Amino acid sequence: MTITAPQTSTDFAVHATNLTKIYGEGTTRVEALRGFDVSFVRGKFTAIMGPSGSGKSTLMHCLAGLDDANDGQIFIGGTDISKLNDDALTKMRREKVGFVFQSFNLVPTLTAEANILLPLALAGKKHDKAWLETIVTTLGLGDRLNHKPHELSGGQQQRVAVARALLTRPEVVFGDEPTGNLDSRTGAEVLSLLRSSTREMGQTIIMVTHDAVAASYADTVLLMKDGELVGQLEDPTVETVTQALSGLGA
Amino acid sequence: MLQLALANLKTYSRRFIAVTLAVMIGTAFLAATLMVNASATETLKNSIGSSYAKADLVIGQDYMVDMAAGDEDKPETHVLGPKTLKAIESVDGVAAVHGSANIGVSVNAGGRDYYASANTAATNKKLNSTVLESGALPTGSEQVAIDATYAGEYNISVGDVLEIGATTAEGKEISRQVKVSGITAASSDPMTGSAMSLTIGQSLLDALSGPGEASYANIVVAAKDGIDLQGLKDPITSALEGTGLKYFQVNTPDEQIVKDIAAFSGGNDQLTIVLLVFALIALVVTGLVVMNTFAVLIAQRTRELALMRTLGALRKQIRSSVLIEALLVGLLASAAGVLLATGIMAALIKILVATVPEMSIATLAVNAQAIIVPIVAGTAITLVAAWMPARKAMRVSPLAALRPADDAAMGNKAGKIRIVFGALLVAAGAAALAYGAIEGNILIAFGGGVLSFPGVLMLGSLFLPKTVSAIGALTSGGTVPGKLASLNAVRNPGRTTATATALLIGVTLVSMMMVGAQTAKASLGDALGSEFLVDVEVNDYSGTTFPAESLAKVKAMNGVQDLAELTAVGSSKSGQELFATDPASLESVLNNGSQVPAAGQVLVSSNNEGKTMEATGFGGKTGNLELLITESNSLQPVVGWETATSMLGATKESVAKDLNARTVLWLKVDDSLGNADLRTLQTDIADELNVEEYAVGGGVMEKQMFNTVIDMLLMIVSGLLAVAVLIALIGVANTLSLSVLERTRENSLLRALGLTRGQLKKMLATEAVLIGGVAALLGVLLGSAYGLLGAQSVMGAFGAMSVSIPWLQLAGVIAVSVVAALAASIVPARRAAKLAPVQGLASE
Repeated sequence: MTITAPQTSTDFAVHATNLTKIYGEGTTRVEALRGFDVSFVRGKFTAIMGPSGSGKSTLMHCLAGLDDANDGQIFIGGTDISKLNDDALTKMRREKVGFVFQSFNLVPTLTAEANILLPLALAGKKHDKAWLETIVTTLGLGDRLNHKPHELSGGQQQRVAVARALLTRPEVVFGDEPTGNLDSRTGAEVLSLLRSSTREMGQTIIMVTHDAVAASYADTVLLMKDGELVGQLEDPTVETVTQALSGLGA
Repeated sequence: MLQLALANLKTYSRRFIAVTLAVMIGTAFLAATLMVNASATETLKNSIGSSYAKADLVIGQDYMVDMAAGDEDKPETHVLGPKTLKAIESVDGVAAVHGSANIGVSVNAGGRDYYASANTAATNKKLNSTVLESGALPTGSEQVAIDATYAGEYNISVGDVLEIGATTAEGKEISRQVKVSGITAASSDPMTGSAMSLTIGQSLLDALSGPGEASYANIVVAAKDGIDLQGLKDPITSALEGTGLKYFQVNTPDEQIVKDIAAFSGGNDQLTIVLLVFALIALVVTGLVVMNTFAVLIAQRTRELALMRTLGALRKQIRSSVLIEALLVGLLASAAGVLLATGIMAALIKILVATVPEMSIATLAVNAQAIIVPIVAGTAITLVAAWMPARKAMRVSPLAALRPADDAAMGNKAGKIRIVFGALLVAAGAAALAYGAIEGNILIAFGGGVLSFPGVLMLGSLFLPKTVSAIGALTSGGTVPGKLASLNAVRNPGRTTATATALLIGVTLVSMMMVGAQTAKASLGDALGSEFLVDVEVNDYSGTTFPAESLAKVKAMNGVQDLAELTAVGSSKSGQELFATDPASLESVLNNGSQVPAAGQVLVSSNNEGKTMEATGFGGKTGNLELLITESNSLQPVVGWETATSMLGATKESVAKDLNARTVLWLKVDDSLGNADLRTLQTDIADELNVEEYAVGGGVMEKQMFNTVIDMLLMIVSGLLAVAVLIALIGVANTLSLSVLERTRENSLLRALGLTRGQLKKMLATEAVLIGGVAALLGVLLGSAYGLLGAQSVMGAFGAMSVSIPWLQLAGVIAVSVVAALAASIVPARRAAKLAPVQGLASE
């Protein structure tokens, strides 16, 4: 099923064709992604939803170059990442992709600031001070930069992770249940930050979630079931998302 | 990456304690070894050079140049004598000269003769190096000074008169009464320090050597003030050449010291090499512990490393971050090790100086080599050991960061190449060992050992985890903690192998030394038993007979079982002294009772050939005696009195009047006598019979001497190897504490499911004991095999080997390992038990 017919691959931040991922063999064989095309428009906040086992996490892993697809092509910012070797893929990841995870995933030994700067440090690049200042101020982390992760609250940790993802001005930021470990108020705060980064900074965001409230912050919701794309909602609300999900039998 | 490595070291510093300790001990060992060498050289410098420390120039014989043919017989070409002294004295610029002679003399004190070395003292203040404790330096030919140690021991004080004797260059015996003029400080010169040291004047030297025949070890020169010493060398050289002297050298004291040390320290280098081998073993064990620890550290950080990969860390960046950590840890720990070694050596030398008078000049020397080599070696070992874990870290997949924290299990399959290579090494080594043992060739056997042991270690991953799980299954007793412990002990075969291997190395080497030494002792005992037919022999070659009451007293001494009196009755045609004794008493003292000569027979050593011996009694009667040849190669021919009387015409009464009459005693002593008892017995017998102590000897004494030497070597070697075992035990503690950290979730789950604190502690203790115990057990088995084969190949030359296993010592080694492993589990177990069930489940 084709959601949007792409003109050229460069129109999209992320674009994949015939994406196929199979786990196991014989009786344990699972088709996690059943060969479909998918594209994400630049500067939009897209949520991927679906019941457990629908393949939404696998889709994200493959799109981010963390997992190899068995078949198909994946373009990030016009680069075909399915042909890259590990080093090139790693470099692509640190330059063009940002991550925000469910369990914050900060390096416990480093301060908040060092965590934010880590991808640039790995690349051996200088950071743009003004940009860092902007992000830190926007995310309200100014007085927390010298703290270690364990000295920060869950919401603060997740904001550090968001700052880390935004600092490199990546082609796309992937979020894997970014509010899964947060209470609803802090979760809403982080989601607002993600949405405003799309609206104000033009940041492309792809978020995997099974929370209808979280999905309602997105511009577009893609629905998955059993390894296939089965629907799409524009300008979703909590009600439309919940309705669509119950239509999938979730 | 440096930033990350530093942050890791800072945050997780406690996890690096074990690595640091292991590297520190290993490098300290190496550093101490090098310092022993440097300090020994420095100490020699202080002691050898003490006799000419204050001189300006030293003239000595040049031993490095081979003499031309014929010069050997012309003393004027190489002997420094009074003429040489005069020639130097006449050189312009020379203020004073002194010839230091060192001659052997005998000193009679308290009715006994002692060997002493007599050294001349210089009268010139600048050249005198003799330090007086009391009295004055000897003057003229009738005074001597004696060193404080021996003066104290023999109760000699200033004013006493001694009789000294010497042999002149022409071979004339001279003896002379001399008065003690002073007591000198104990000598520290290793060339003279071991015997009584006398200080004599030049005129007494002349008297003892014969007129004009004195020869000097070296000649020291004091130059006039302001004279250029290098410039003074030439006129002295030409003056000496003028006397016909060819083989000599003129040096400043510093130059001379360097040459003397080179000549003296050959044995010292060997000691260093032996110590270095042990240091190397310690470092290899250190390497294993480091590798293990880093492997566990990496396993704990899998998620973190995966996160780094996701965020864009290249594989090689991950590897270098681990290696930087290793580099920093290695560097710091090695530096700490060198400091530790310096501290220990300084303390040891201080103790030595304070307790051993002869070592009062012992000096600590720390040269650049002793600092740089251990630091470089320690750091390199740490880096090399961290290489494999770093490669593993590099292969962590980015996805591991996104998956829920599952138990980090690192698969560790023994590489096929390693197994094949290991098997080949074991096969080749075992063959060489067997061949060496059969042929009695220690070199081949040693090569076999060196080949096969690394082979066994390579194969460790095949048998170590299996043995641990088999023994675990046997000993679990069906309890849940027991079963869990034996499963946990092998759940990471790679780690179990590495931990056990570190301990295996140490234990194998220690038990090899123990079994080898014990077997060598037993075999030597047997060899000596057939070599020495009697336990103790009193044989004073100066020719004495002993009064009956003295013999009765000796026989009554504690430890003496029987005594046979052998009386000289004549001699064989080849000149061997022939003895006669009572056959019954002979039988009671011989270690092999069957070898009692019957009528017409003579008991002789293995050096005799043929069937008969022609012998003549003191009365002149000649007879042909039938030979009874023994295995001993140092035995005087012995016959029964009956034979002596009937065939050689010698009776107890007739020989007593002969000029050559003398008595030799053979004694049988208690087997249970220890070393100290034997020495006391030796002294008591010598005193009672009024003979020198060296006249009292025999098989027991020899055996005790061998045993003492072997025991001492064993003690030293075991002490050195204990360092390796210690490091390995740190490894056990480390593996366990990291396993506990790693299994926090699982242990909490077990607690939540109803495992009590006590059971949890017991489970961890069992795990530690399993790994430690199995490694020790296998080490003892392997070591015993090596020890027996090694002893066989050494003792092959002495004939049959007597297998003897020191069961108690080996059991002790296993017990120590098990207890230490148990102790190693205490802290980690306590930490694990403290955790509340929910806490653990919540943590990552």
